Amino acid sequence: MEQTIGTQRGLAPTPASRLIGLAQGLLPVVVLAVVLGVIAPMVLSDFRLSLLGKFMCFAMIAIGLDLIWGYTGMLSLGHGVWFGLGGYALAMHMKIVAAQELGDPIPDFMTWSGIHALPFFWKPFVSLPVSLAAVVLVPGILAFCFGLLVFRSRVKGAYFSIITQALALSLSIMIVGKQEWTGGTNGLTSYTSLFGMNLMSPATQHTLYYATVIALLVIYLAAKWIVSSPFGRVMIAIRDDEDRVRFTGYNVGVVKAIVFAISAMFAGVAGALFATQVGIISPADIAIVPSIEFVLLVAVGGRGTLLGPIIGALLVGGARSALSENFPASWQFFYGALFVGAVLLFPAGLVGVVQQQWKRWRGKSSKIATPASMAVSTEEV
Amino acid sequence: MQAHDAILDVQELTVSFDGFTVLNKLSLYVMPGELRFLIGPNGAGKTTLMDVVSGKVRADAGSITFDGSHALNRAAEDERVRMGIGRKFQTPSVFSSLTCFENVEVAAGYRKGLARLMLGRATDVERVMWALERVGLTARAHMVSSDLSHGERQWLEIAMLLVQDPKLLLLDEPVAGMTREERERTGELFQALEGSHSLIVTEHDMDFVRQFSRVVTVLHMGSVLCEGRIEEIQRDERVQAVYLGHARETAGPGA
Repeated sequence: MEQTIGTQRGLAPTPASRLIGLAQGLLPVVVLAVVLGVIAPMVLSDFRLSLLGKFMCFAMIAIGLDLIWGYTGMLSLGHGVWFGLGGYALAMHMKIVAAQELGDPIPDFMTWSGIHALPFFWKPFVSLPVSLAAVVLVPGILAFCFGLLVFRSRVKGAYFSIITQALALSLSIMIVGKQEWTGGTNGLTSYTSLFGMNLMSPATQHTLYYATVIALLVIYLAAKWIVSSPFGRVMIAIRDDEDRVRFTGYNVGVVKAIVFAISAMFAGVAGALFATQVGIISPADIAIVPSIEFVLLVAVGGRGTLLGPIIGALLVGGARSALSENFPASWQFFYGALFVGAVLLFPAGLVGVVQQQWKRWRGKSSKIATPASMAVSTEEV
Repeated sequence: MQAHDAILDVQELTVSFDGFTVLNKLSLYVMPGELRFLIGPNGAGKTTLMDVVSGKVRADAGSITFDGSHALNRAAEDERVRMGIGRKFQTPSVFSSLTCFENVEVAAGYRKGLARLMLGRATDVERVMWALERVGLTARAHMVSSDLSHGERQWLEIAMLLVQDPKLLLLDEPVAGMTREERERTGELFQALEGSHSLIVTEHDMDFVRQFSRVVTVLHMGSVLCEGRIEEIQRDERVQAVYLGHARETAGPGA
């Protein structure tokens, strides 16, 4: 019997099965690349395409949230913070460029607030390479430090969620309050160019769209790589029983902080691409409400699936646009009902439901193949 | 035998919860390669002693020295595991959504750097399969651990310890929920580990203790009552009194 099972189900980490795993991981990438990179630009208008680009940015955050929530079991209700830090990092650079093109030393809103020199923390963002690095590094490093502090004191569960939410609230309040440094409620907007390209031109917008498709695919593959590595098993182990992982010899706080930082870096990239495509980033995009909406994208798509968050982000985004165009006065009610309905009907999310059905079907077929060993698993499920 | 040669040297350990003393100046030492059984009525402090040694509970007073030189009082749980102290919990705690293989794989990777784990070439497949084979779970390697029977889950947790090759194994009621045959095999496994590893086993099943024990330590109300071979222990009047319940009146609530 040992042999039957060994050959039937295969050893997970053998080269052959890793290849199969890789192929299974690549199939969605190919489908997404074709649909988003080839079909969508052909059939969608420029306006719709830019909306799709925005939804893809949300999909990147959702993948990061899936890593920490779906796989590692920590629910962040404040991921707008990392999205915002990435977005503001690049927006600050674009704002400086826009001012320079007009011959001003500092962005317009600072002049209105009576500031005449660039504040010290704006100075590094004069440089494009520094700004691009900051898009990833600022959220990554800050999230790691924040995570280390929080996880070392073993804050978890609802308490962790509340702390992340407080963080999102404080950042947005700080941005609003320090208007002369941050642009306040209005956020940072009216940029003109990036990489010397005119941001208003359709060609640049197309380039940015393709950059977003590539970033999404790279982030998906990176996340897939992480969860299918032994490190990914440690993440799931932490979700199952955090204390047991500690008694297995891992420094759980550090592992969680790393996953949290990776997730924040994904959100930072999303923020930067969002700011360039949408043309504005403001406290309203990064505060509590959008932070909760990001989590809902994962819940609707299916947590612990990586593909689910992408599908969730695209479907919910599409539904939001359709509802707000067709019911301009009452769309929020439908939008809310959509979330409630989806979470009530499919607690495992759309992709989760599909996976459960697939497993049930496979469980039945393998029960016939190896009655003695598989009977236990199928009966208990 | 000198205490400073001991793999585990516990001195005057005191632990109390909300004013109730669970461990009362408990002293005990275990030599390298020893298979030690801990018995005692419920509330005697067996599990708490393991909790303090593995770092789950902090002692109010007393000291624990591991392997001659490591003072454990300030070390975190995961550091103690890396020093070589493995723990099996009373209720089998394995990672329920991982397969048996993956459970042991996680245990096997505990000393490897996180970067190596992420790059994905860190798993020593043969070693993981060796550990599963020692507990007879080879055929279950790719079954999700929540689908295992209670006894099999106990074994899986033991395999997770074996793969780490700890110097000291703390096994809290490892044969609970096992059939007679499974108990036999587990006992034989412990005897095979004896010599190369130190083991501390708590157990309520006296048949199991009689069959596989060498030295037995009896705990009562947070202290060592007596120590010796099982035949001597069973003749001891104090032990008989404790087990027949003569001491119940003084044991207090929650004992």
